[in-house]
Amino acid sequence: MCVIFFLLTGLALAQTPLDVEKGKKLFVVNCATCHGIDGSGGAGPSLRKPKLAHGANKEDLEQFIARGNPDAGMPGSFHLGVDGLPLVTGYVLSLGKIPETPLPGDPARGREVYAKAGCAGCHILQGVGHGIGPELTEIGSRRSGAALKEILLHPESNLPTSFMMMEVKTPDGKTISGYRVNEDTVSLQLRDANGNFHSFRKDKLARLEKKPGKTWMPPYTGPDIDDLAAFLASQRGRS
Amino acid sequence: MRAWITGMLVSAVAAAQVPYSRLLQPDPESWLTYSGNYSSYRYSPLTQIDSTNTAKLRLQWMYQSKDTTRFETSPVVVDGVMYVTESPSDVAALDVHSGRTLWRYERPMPKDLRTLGFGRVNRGVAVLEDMVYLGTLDAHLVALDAKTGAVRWDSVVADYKTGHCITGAPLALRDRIVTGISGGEAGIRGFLDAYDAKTGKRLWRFWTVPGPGEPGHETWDGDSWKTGGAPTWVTGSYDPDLNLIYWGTGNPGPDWNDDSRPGANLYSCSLLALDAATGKLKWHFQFTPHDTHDWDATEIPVLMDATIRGARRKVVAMANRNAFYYVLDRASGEFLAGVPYAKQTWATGLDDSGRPQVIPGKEPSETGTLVYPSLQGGTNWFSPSYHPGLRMFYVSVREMGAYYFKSEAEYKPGVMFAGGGERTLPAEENYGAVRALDATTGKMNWEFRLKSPPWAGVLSTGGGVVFSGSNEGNFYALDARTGKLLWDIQTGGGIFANPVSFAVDGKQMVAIAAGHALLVFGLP
Repeated sequence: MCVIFFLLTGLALAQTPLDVEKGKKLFVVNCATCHGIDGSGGAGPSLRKPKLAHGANKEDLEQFIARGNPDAGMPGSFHLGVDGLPLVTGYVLSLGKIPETPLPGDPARGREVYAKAGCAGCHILQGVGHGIGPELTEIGSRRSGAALKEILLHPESNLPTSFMMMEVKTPDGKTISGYRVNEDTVSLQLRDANGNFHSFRKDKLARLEKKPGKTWMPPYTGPDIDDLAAFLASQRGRS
Repeated sequence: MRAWITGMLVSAVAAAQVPYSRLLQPDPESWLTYSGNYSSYRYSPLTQIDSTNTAKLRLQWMYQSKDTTRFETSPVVVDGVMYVTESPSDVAALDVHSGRTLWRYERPMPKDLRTLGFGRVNRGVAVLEDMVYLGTLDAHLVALDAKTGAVRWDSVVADYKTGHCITGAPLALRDRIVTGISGGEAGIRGFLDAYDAKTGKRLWRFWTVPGPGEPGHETWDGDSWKTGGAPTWVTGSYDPDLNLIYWGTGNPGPDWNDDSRPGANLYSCSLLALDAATGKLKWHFQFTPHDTHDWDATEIPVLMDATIRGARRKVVAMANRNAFYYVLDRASGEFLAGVPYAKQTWATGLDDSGRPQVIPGKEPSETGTLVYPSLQGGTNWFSPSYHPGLRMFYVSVREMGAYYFKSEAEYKPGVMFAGGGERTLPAEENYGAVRALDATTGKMNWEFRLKSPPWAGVLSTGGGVVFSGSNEGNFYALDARTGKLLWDIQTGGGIFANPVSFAVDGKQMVAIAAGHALLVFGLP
């Protein structure tokens, strides 16, 4: 009895391409108005990311979608029922998935490459390093090995949509470059190469320049890049 | 001193009466209706705060809403009491001296209530005589005792289970309360209702989608009128001399898939002029015939007098979600002027009758069609402001395009009936602005640029100051003549609300909901 139960559950959890297609149809009707037709966001947030703000696993996410998030203006979707909810949830989860490609690299050798290349000068991994760039402790659960290799090769072509480097000239003639932490109509906060924060009134600046497609991260083109990508892909949280 | 102030307050509260005559001539110390007056100026004649002293504004008090949903309230202020609404459909009466709560009305929502296509918000109340009127998410109209918050009557407007909701503030007339309805993404058949102010009995209903035998019904195919939408979810205006109500209608249903509804789809995306006594249609003007982009015409209709081609006219102006600014004769509905006030790529212009000259191929498609403005429009529900002295029309503008998609749409009661959606362009390509338009021609006098397309309305004042807010929490004041930034403060929460102004013991105040707080500013 128990065995059959587990077997059935296992079957139910397996997601077929047809399920994803059915889930997509339900998504377009029920969710696309706010989350965008392809889940890339609109009035609601983008869902095209491996780690969503709500729902630690599929069951959690299913309940979250059923209940909704009234605080943020998201209605509940109980009406999708026991058939519809798993389909929509499966589709939402599929949006953030980058197709896995076999990794030729060796994670153990990659650890040495990571140290040798000086990545820790700008990244924190398992609590060690300097926090100029993003933390890498969970990077393997956010990006596939193939995607990581692509970022290593061409960092400037793979920046997150909200990422922007900026350069400002202050009234006293100083030039300061940094990553944009916040920008609103009147103010701007930057973080410079040493991790220091700078805050400006935009109307007081002599110059304000966006640097789209710019980052301080240098490309990595070493022959052992597959090892480095495999090492990063193996980073899935604090050990 | 304190006891004396309290004594004054108690007597003021006890005497709180808002006869119809006060609504006709609102005293500047109060803010008696959603938009400040029947003409919907969202303008305060108060002059104490002006361009020379705005920089000295400081926080007087703040109120924290009990709910963390978007706080979209536009307060009403009467004789020392401020009425604010908060999610889901609650009212708090606040002492304007201290910000302390005098009473609360909390309305439990049915567990199966769903809002289809919008958040669980409420934008404000109406007041008349000794009652406060509230439209609720479960589609009731409720009359509360202004002194205690006790329910005087509670009338069902529609069935919430079919996606009917009320988020907008009612409009109080001489003896009746007018309310609209939401549900444009739920396949409702829209209407506008009037209820007896004393008893809650329905006096009339105007269906915004005509039924069989009614004029306009021929603009719908088959049974499509039954789910035709045209909701009335933002508060309209009133001309007491003509006794006409001006109220905008929303999109036809389903929003982005028009297969089932060939035709103009009257009276969707229109401005209606209705006889306040009977609810009969005097005239209509459809801004976007056969809309497929969700460009509701529910923006605030502003009533003003203007000289057009040498003749004095009573006009109504609207900055429409479709990115055009319109001026119409409000007695006849005649089109007088119309120009774009935001980027638009769907029409070459308007013809002599105000009808858009639509560019072919801009309809939503399975692969996506890029059109400006986005489905949230060149502007949206948040209010514009009209300064009668400067004759300027201030509007919060959303400069943003989107790919529009079309998908299947099948009507099921209480389920989304939209047939598509949009994919917006990257955030870095979008921006916002407050634009000052010449109210008669729509020509831009100045603009103040915003980092992102805003969700906050505009207030202008007799002191020559314009107030508004940003998504990033900036509440700011501009010079009404030039658009120069005079003052700003970071409130710590996004602003999705309209500012109002009033006076407390002769001291001018400006209030805005930001994040989950209501902030009240005044001079030291």
